Amino acid sequence: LRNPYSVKSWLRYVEHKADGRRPVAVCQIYERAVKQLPGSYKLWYRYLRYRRLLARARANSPDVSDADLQAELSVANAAHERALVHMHKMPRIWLDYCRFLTRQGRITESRRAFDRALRSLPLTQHDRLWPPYLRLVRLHAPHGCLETALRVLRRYVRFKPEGREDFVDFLLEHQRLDEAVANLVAIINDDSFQSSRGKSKHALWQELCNLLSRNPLEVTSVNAEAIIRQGISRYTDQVGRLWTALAEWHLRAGNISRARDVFEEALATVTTVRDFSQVFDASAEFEEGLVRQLMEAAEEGAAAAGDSEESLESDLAMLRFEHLIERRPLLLNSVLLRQNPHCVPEWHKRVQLLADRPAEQIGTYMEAVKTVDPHKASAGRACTLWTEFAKFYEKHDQLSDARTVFEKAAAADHRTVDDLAYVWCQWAEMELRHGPPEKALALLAKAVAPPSHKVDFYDRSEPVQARLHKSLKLWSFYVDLEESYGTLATARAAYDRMLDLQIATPQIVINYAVMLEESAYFEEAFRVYERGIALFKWPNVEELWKTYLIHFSDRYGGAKLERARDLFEQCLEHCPAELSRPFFLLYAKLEEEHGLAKRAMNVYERALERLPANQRAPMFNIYINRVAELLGVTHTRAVYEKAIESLPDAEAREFCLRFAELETRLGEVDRARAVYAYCAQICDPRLHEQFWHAWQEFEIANGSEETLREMLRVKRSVTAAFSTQLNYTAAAAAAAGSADSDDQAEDSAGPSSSDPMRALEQQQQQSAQPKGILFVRGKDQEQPAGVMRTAPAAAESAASGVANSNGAGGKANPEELQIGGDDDDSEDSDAGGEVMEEAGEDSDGGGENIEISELPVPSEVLGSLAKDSDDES
Amino acid sequence: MSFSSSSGRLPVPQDLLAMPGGVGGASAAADDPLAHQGRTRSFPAERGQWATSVHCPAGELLDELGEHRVESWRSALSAACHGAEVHPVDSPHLSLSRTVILRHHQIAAYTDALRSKLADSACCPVVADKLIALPNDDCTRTFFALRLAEHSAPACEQLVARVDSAMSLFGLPVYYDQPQLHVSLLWTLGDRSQDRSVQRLLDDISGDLASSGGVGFLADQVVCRSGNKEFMFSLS
Repeated sequence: LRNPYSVKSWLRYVEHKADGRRPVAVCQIYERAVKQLPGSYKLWYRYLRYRRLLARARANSPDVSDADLQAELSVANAAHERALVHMHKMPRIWLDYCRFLTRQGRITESRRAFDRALRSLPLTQHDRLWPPYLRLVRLHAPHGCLETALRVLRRYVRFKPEGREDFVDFLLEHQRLDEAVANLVAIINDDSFQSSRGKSKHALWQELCNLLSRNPLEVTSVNAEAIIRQGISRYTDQVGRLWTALAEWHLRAGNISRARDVFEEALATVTTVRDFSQVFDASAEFEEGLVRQLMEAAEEGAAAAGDSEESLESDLAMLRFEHLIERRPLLLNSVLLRQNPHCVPEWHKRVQLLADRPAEQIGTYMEAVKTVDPHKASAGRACTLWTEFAKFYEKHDQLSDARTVFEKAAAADHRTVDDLAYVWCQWAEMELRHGPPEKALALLAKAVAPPSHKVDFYDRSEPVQARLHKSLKLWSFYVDLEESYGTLATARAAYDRMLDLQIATPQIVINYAVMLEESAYFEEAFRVYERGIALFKWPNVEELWKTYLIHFSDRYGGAKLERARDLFEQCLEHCPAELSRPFFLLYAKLEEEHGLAKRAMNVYERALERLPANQRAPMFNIYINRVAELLGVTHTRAVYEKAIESLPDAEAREFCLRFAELETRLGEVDRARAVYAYCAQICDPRLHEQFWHAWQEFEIANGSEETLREMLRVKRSVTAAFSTQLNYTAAAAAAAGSADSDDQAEDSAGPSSSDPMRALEQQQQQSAQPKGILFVRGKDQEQPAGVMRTAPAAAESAASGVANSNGAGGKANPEELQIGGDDDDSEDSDAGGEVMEEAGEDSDGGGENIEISELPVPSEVLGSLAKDSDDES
Repeated sequence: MSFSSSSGRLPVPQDLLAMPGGVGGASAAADDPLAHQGRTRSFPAERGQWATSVHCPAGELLDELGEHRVESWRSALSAACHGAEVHPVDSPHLSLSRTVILRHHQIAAYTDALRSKLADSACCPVVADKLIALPNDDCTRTFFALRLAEHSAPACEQLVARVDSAMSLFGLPVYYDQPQLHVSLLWTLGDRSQDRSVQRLLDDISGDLASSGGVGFLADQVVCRSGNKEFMFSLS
């Protein structure tokens, strides 16, 4: 070689020789090269790789003896060692060497190589070395190298604290619990620790606590109890678990009584029901287990020899268990109260739970009234605690103590005046139960005594005691007692004060007045009513006025009519219209009984003006009745007319019918007919069949052929008028659906009106009505002739109408409108046919004065009906 | 928790007794008899309770007697009571009723009732001719009072009857059955009405008074005193 110091030329040389046939030669060239250039990484690296490849090829080939292989390997190792003399800063070389050694299975040597590598390489490159190193030690740890592995790992953890978690896992895997716990503690204590597995501190705590509680004996390096307790104070959501863990720790450590203490402590401190049930269940399980164990032991012992001491012990355990189970509701109650000490129902429940232990009940009551802040009290009123407390003493016949409780309660803070009033009322009720009523009276009088300075009832900054004297509840009770047990004068004084304080209700005023009336102080009673009326506004004053007016009328009747009238006027002046009805009625009654009928009528008139529309109809009813009674039936005509005029259609119809009936009864047939005719305008034959029926009956009974025909004509025209109205909707059709098919047939057969005809009709009515007699009917005379002419056609079309009417009326209508395009003649004939048919039917029923048989009707139209009517007539 | 001891009875917690309110509480005003010359209250002062009495003022009587005469009686009585202090009554009056308790809301109604009852009463001339010793209801004090002469008593008894009728309206106690109408002048603590020496002294004074025809005044108004309020009713 011309230039032995050129790496390139050495490499080319090697390449030239490297045809795989003579590896020894290649090695020699490499040896020469590295001898010349010992500092060349490139050369060393290639040489060593070549060596390793060679060794591996040897190892894989089956015809190489073991000794040869070992020789080859040791040569390769030696080459590495030599290389490292120069290349000890090269991590690649170290890594390759270490891996090579590891693969050879030389554990100790590879470990040493790793150690040397760690020593010679700078710290920054250590993280390349550790993973294979760790893999090595982990691989061999289970095979008797545990201690070594631990040492290596400890060093690793020192180098890289993040690895502690893995270390802990490793320790756990190999049952090194103590060290694992110590490491966990270190992790938890390290504030900057970031778990590589995303575990939170919380999860680590839990792990630690689990470890501690499961292995109390193995773990000695740390104070398990302190750690768990710290956990309890720190992680409030795991309290139940942690307490159980602590108890378990003690239990596993064989410290049964300590475990029991821990359970007790836990039950006394947990604040949520969930934690409580967790701890309680664990505790119960523990006690039960203890009992079972002792029982088994006792059984065995009994088999051997009856040992009384052992059975005693098991009895004790049994008792403990039972005691625990018994206490459960109480303990749970305590938990709830710890959670919310202002929960009133829980306190009451607690007292109930302690039912047979009065001393403890008293203690509970005391605790409750001391603890519960009435302003924060939830789900109940704090004052009930006081009253129950007092009642408790009362129940045990210790009245004086009950009084003491009430005294304190009266002075204690309450949320509302009502609460304090409740206390006083309960107190007074207790006094009433146990002694003369004077005592209760005096008590309430004391309660309602005004404070020394003026206080606004709604001023929340004032204590409730100062505002008590305006409590409606208290005063109501007081006046009640005064009325029952005091004298009239004292009761009056009390009522008067109530009115002065403006805390009376209308009912109180009425009570007061009634009391006075009962004592025959009528004028005073009326004055009280007046006062009350001045205090209240409509509509609250309604009841007051009513009572006042009724009582006044009862008392004086007609003796003080003017005054009574004034009162009514005064009342009605401000009375809202919708409430005024009873007053008008009362007023009218008064006038009827004691005054003038005319005035009474006047009152009715006024009432009808004043009342809202929906109350008018019944008023008209009353009015008509009264008029008929007082002035005679004939005077009701004007009222009927007025009613029909002013009422809405539906009610007007009703009145029309009644009016017509009345006229009929009076024999004024023409008037009645006029009424019917008027009303017809608002009665759609499809919807108000009843009206038309009534009219028809009327005509059959009282009219003649002409009038009946006239009626039918009107009916037709009204039908026509209504059928064009747009508001004949589907709903109306449904209402009409109930009408019988006959009617429907007529409906559908009756085509829409021709407007001129309707106008004509109205004109006729207008001319007829003022006279109050029959319609003018000159023109209609031709109609029968028309009927005659086209009767067969009418029958046909009626039949088709029936067919049509099978469909819904609403649907049928449009078609009908088309038919409506027919000329007048056919229209007339349509309905005419119907009329004949109906008339025939009616005459069946009993009409006798319609001389149908006289008409020259073709027999096809009437069929057998005509014959029937012939027979009858 | 500590309980007050008891036998058979359920205990009352000390905590409860220590709470404010009621007899043991701080709200009850301390009653110090020394503050008012050793007198004790016959009923406790309480908010809403108004001690009420009806009387005719008798200041004129004192004028007529003369201050020195009363003073001399006072010292004599003091001596007779073995040196016990005898005080003059602040405003001498002729009582027409017992002292009763009215509620605040009853005062107005009561005075109204009284006014109507006294509406047509006439003034009555009052003559007293005897000095007597009267203990109060609970015998804690003795009053030395001028007793009305028999001839002037009926008119006053009529007044008393009217006041009584007003009282009974309100269910309050009426005046004594056989009223000894009197005008108190002096008082001392304790019941001295049975003391011999006092009796003797009183008899002497009464004798003097009777011989001089007694002293008198015209009762022309009635006063109803309720707490610190006074209501006057003039007689016609």
